[in-house]
Amino acid sequence: MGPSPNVEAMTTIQRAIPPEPLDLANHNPPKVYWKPPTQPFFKVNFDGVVFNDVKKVGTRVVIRDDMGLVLASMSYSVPLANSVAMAEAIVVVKALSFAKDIVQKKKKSKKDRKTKTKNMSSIGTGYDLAVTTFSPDGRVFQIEYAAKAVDNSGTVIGIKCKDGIVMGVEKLIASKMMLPGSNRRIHAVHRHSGMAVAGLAADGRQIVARAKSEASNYESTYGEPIPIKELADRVASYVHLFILGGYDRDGPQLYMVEPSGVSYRYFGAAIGKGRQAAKTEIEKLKLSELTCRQGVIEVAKIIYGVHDEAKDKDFELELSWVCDESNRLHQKVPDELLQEAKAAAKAALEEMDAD
Amino acid sequence: MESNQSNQHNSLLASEADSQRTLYPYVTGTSVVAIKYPYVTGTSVVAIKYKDGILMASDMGGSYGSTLRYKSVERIKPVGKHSLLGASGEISDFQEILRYLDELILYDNMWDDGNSLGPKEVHSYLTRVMYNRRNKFNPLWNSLILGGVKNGHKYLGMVSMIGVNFEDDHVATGFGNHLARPILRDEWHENLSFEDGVKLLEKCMRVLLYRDRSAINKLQIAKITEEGVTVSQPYSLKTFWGFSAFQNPTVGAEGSW
Repeated sequence: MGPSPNVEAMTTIQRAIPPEPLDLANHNPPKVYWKPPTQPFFKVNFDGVVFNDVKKVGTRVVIRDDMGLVLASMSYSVPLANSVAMAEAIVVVKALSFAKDIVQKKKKSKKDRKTKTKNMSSIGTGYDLAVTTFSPDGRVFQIEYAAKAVDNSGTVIGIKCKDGIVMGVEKLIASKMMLPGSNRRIHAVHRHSGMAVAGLAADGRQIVARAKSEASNYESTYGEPIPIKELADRVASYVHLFILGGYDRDGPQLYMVEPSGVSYRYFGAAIGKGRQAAKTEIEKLKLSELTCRQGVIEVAKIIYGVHDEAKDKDFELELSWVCDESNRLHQKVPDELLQEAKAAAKAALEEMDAD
Repeated sequence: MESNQSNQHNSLLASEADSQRTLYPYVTGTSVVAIKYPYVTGTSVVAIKYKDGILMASDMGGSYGSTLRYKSVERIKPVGKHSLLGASGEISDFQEILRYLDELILYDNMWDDGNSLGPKEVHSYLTRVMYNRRNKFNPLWNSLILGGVKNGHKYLGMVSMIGVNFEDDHVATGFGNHLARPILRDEWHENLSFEDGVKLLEKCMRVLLYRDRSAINKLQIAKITEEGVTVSQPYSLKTFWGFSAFQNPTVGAEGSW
C-alpha cells in the first residue's frame, strides 16, 4: 500500500510539533502486554492524542493479525473536539471506519487476483503448506490438521487384557450399498500383530503396508518376529494415527501412535470421535482381571455406547484380538463371539435407555 | 589384458553376493556366468496318492559331496494348511525356498479373508520360482515334490531344478525316478489304504537304501489329509544284506570291475 494522503497530512503536523521529552524518572510503564488475536480474528488497536496548541486531535490505528504482523496502520488529525470524551468518540469512529475500509479493500483485491502472497498475508498463514514448515509460535499446522481429521473419524479402541489384546472399531458406513466387511479398518501386520486405524482409511492402508514390510524385513534379518515396541517405533517414524496390538516374548502389548509421531504403550487407548467417552469407560474396567473373551464384550459395549445414533451414519463393528485363544496370532474375532458381543452391547444399550 | 582379467575377477566377486556357491567364471560374450554346484545335498523323495490323501517319504541324510555329513536333515515340511513339500538336492536352497513359502503364506494369511493357498497354487508358485531362477542361470539346486489335499481334491506334483513340472498319481525325485517309480507303476492303485500305502513306500525306500549309496537308513514318512499334516518320527527299515548278489556283486557282470 502506498502512502495515503492521510499519512502525509500527519507527518506535516508531527514536524510542526516537536514531541515533549519523556520524564524518565517518573515514568512508570504500565504492566500491559499486547497479545495477538487467535487465528480467524484481527486486532484493531487505536488511541487518540489531543494537541491543545494547534487545537487538533490526532488518531492512530494499527491492525494486526494473529502473528503480530502489521496489516495496516493509519494516523489522522481532526479539528479539536469540545471535550476529551468527544475526542475519544471521534477516535473510535475513525478506527472502525478505517478497519471496515481495509477489510473491503482486502476482499476486493482477493477477488481481483488470487495470488498466494495476498492470501497468505490476509489469512495470516502460509505456515500450513508443508509438513516441514513451523509457524512462528512453534506449531506444525499440517500435523494439527491430521489430528483434526482423526478426531472426526469413527471411534477406535484397544484394551490390554490379562491374556491378550482386543481392538475394536466403530466403522461408519458411507453407503448402504457397500458390502458388509468392506473398507476394513483393522489390519493384520504380521502373524502376531495387528493395527486398527482411525483417520483416513487410504492413509491407513499405506501405513499398514509400511508396517508389513518393516515386520517381514525384521524377521528376514533377525530370524524372529519383530517385537511390538520395535514395530511401533519404526512405524511411528513414518506415521499417522493408529492403535497397534500384538504379542511378543514380552507378552501382549498395546501401542498408540499419534500423527505427531509419538508412540506410547497403553493398557487402554481410544481415538476418534468418541474417544473421550470411550476412555472414561475403559478406565472403569478391571483390565488386569479381564480375559480377552470378556474384553471383546466390553469393547463392543463401549463402541455401541459411544456411537451417536442421532448424528452419525450407520456403523459396522469390527473386532480383532491377539490372545491365547487365537494361539497368539492376530485374528478377526470369531463370528459367533462377534454376534454374542453385538447382542450384549445392544442389550446393555436398551437397559440404559430404559433407566 | 592384465587389468581386464582382474576386472573380470572383480565382477565375479560382485555377483558372488547372490550365490553361496560359486566356482569359476565362465565368460560368454560380455557377461560372466557363474558355474555353480551344490554343497550339501539330500537324495530321493518318493510320494504317492492314497485313499485319503498323500503319503511322502524321504531319508534324513545330508551329503557333503559323497561324504554322509549330516544325518538328521528334515526334507519334508508342511506348507500352509493344505500342502506338504519334499525336497532333494541342495539343502540350503531348500531352506531358502521354505523362507519364500513362509512369506507367501504369511502375506496370504494377512488378508484374513477366509481364503488360503492350496497345493495347486503353491505348486504353481514353485514352478515359477524354479524356472525364473534357471533363466538367471542361477538355479535353485533342487527337485521338489508338492502334495496336498484341499476341498476333497488330492494333488501331487513335482518341479525340477530347471522348472520342468508335472502332476501324477505317484512321483519321485533323483534315484527314486529310476528305482522307485517302476515299483509304483506295478503296485500303485487308487484305493490304497494308509497301511498299504506306507508298506509300498517302505518297499521303495528299502530298494533305494540298498542301491543308492547316498541313502541312509533313517527316514520319515509324512501324511496329509483333509484333517491336516502329520510327519512321522524318524525310524529305520529292517534290512537283509545276506543276498548272494550283495555278497558277490560282480558275478554275472564280467568286465565291469
